[in-house]
Amino acid sequence: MPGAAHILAVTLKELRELLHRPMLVLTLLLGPLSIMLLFGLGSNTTPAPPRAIVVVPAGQAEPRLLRDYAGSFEEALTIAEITSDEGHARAQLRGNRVDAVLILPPSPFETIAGGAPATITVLYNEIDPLWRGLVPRFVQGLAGEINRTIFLQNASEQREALAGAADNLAALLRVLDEAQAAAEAEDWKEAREQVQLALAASGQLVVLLDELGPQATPLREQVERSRVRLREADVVLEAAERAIATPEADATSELNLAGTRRNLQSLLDAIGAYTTLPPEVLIAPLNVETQLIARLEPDFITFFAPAIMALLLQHVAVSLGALALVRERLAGTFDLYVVAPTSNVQLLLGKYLAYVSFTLAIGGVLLLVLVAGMDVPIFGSGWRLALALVLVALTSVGLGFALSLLATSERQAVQFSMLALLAIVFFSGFALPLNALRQPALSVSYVLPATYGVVLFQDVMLRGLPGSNLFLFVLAAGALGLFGACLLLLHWRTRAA
Amino acid sequence: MHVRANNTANDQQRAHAPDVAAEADAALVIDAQDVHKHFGASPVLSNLSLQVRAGEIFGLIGPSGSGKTTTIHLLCGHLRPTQGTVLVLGEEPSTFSKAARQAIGYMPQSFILFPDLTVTQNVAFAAGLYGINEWRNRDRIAAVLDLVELTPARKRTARALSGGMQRRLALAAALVHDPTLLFVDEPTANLDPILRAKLWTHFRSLATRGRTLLVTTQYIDEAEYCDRVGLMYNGALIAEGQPEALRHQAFGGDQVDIIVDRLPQGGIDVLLQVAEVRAVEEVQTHRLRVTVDRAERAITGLLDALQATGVAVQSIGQFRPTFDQVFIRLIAQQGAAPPPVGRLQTSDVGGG
Repeated sequence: MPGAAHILAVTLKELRELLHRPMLVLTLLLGPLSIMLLFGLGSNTTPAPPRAIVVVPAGQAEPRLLRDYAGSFEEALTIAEITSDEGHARAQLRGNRVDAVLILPPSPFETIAGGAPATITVLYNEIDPLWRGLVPRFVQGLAGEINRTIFLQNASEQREALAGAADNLAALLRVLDEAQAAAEAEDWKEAREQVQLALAASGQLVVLLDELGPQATPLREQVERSRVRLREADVVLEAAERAIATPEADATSELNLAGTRRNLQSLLDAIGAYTTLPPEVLIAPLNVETQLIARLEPDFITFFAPAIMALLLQHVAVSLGALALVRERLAGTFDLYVVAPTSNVQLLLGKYLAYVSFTLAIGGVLLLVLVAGMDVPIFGSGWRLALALVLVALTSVGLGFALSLLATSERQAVQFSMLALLAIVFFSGFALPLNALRQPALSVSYVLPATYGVVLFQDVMLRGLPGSNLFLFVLAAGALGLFGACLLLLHWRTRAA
Repeated sequence: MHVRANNTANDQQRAHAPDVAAEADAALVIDAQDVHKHFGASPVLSNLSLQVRAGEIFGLIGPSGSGKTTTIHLLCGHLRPTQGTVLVLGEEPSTFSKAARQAIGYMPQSFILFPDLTVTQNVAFAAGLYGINEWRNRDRIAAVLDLVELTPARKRTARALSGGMQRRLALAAALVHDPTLLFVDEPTANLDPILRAKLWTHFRSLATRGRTLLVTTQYIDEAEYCDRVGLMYNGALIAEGQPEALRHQAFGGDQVDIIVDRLPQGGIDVLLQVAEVRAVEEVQTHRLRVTVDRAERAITGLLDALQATGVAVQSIGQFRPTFDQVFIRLIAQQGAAPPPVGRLQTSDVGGG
């Protein structure tokens, strides 16, 4: 191949230089890797319960709310102190020595019994936007847990009360049956007595349902409708008794006792269904069941391992690339290249070959460590993973070269590569998922090779997917574009002034 | 009476110089005409014209900042002239063909090779830039390292070399592809005298083998090593020619120093009557410096004239002014202020 010797010379020179500087490579590789590993091992993604001071009403050392629901409080909060001194609690909160102050109401159960909600006031003092929702989330959870317990308790009591109401209703039905039989026998007096008995029984049922509270209102309304019909029947029977005359042939139909009975029977059936349901179903009739169908339930390290690989590949490639050309340009080595019969294309190809090979070698070692040393799986195609690795390396090296050709000093090149590292930490989907980013941050994300690497590596390795063809195409196009840009920049930097 | 003869290495160097006729026959390798170069509004080269022919060592000499390196950059194609034309090997440098590049070697002023690579690896890389496969051409690489006497250090990294060895390494890198035209920018700067002499010996051996060298130096007296010299000052080529010719040009002829026991009234006038004599100057008490057309022809006449007036001559001989003196004299002739102290360097190697 014409020019192969020129390209090979540049490649060998670059590789030899890299191998002569193992500390530089180790620092570039092990520095970020150890920091990230330390972060991964030392950080807890599950937030700890907030530390709180509970302010109890004066004179109540341990109020019933705190005593009866101690488990819920302990689960939701780390109670630092229980005090009746609200001023002291507020001062502690202002001093950021606790996360929250919970002020308990003086007599919550009496308030609830009176038909009004009881309120726990929660104060917090968090300025971190990421954690600002933490205290409200935990105390909402606490309130939900206490309410659930109260509901459950009430539901059990109601269930028992409704069972008693059902007994009354069954007796009422029996009375109605007797009234119906008396009417059919044209014994109006007996029929009327039975209807009055039924009215009295339904009155007791209404009282019973009233005691069940607002939840029993629909049942009560149904009973009230039956009582209206019973009163109408009573009026008809009174008129018949007063006339002592032969009533009309079909008096029973005017009494409509059968309709009233059906109404009450359906009520009894409804109460029966209600009382047979467990209280847990009554308070939470709809449940949600989630199932994880991923092939792997990775731990923190396993999930981030492919992302770390993408990040390190870009970082190493960009950093080495950023130094590769600026050093030679500033030292005057470019003057040699201008005089020699080595073209800019050959020079750039030689450098690409060296740095991409070197980056891939590092990628291979990292992959080996992840797979063999840390049991990170590769569920997807090895070829697709290799393709993604090559494209990430190519674009990253190209980015490094472009920065190197733009930089006016080695210090600036280092600054550029540090900025690129910061950019990948924040925008590549490593620290925050991409769907948590908005424009214009998202545009920065898609300029970084590591962004594509994070997604492709995680997809292929952990999800067993082939990896997005669009992402692979964009990386390939980016690599070509960067090569062209580097060529133009190199021409600009080596042209005769 | 003592007749001094300045028969030093300088004479040996001069013996290598091609004569004018042969020079005229040799192919023109570098031809710069009326070249001006400005960096922004600042002129750095003015009206530079020079020709270098095949097989000669052309020394571009002048103090730092005089425009030597800029001239090299123009000739190598790193810079374009603001005005004027430059042809090297018949081509414009900024658009050198591959063949032209293959024929050119360049040794820059500072060490720009790779400190982390070994001596051999650096030379191999330079060879590779010229399409020379390092594995198939190990002998060539070994030979060039031998030439610059770096074979014992071939496995050392360039970082571990002394400044002088780094210069030789740079020279090896510039020579490895056997160029016919070699641009060498300040090769002897900050080197010890022995090493400078060795480098010049290398350059002479290359010229002997038909290579053309354009060498810049701020050591004025290194002009003695060159076949032809261009003296640069403040971006202008103030004189150009063979070293002896420049010396002649600076002082209006050869210089003869005479020490007498006494100088009678009218003694200087007697000397001025001698054919060939152009000027007489009493440089010290009883010491005269006489400017003549050709020293070797004039000495006998001077001696006779002084003896005829009864003056006892203690010594007489040709005085060869140093190139510093030549340079300062030439600058003065141009009506320019002499360079400040420090810009003009004197080596311990060059003659006179």
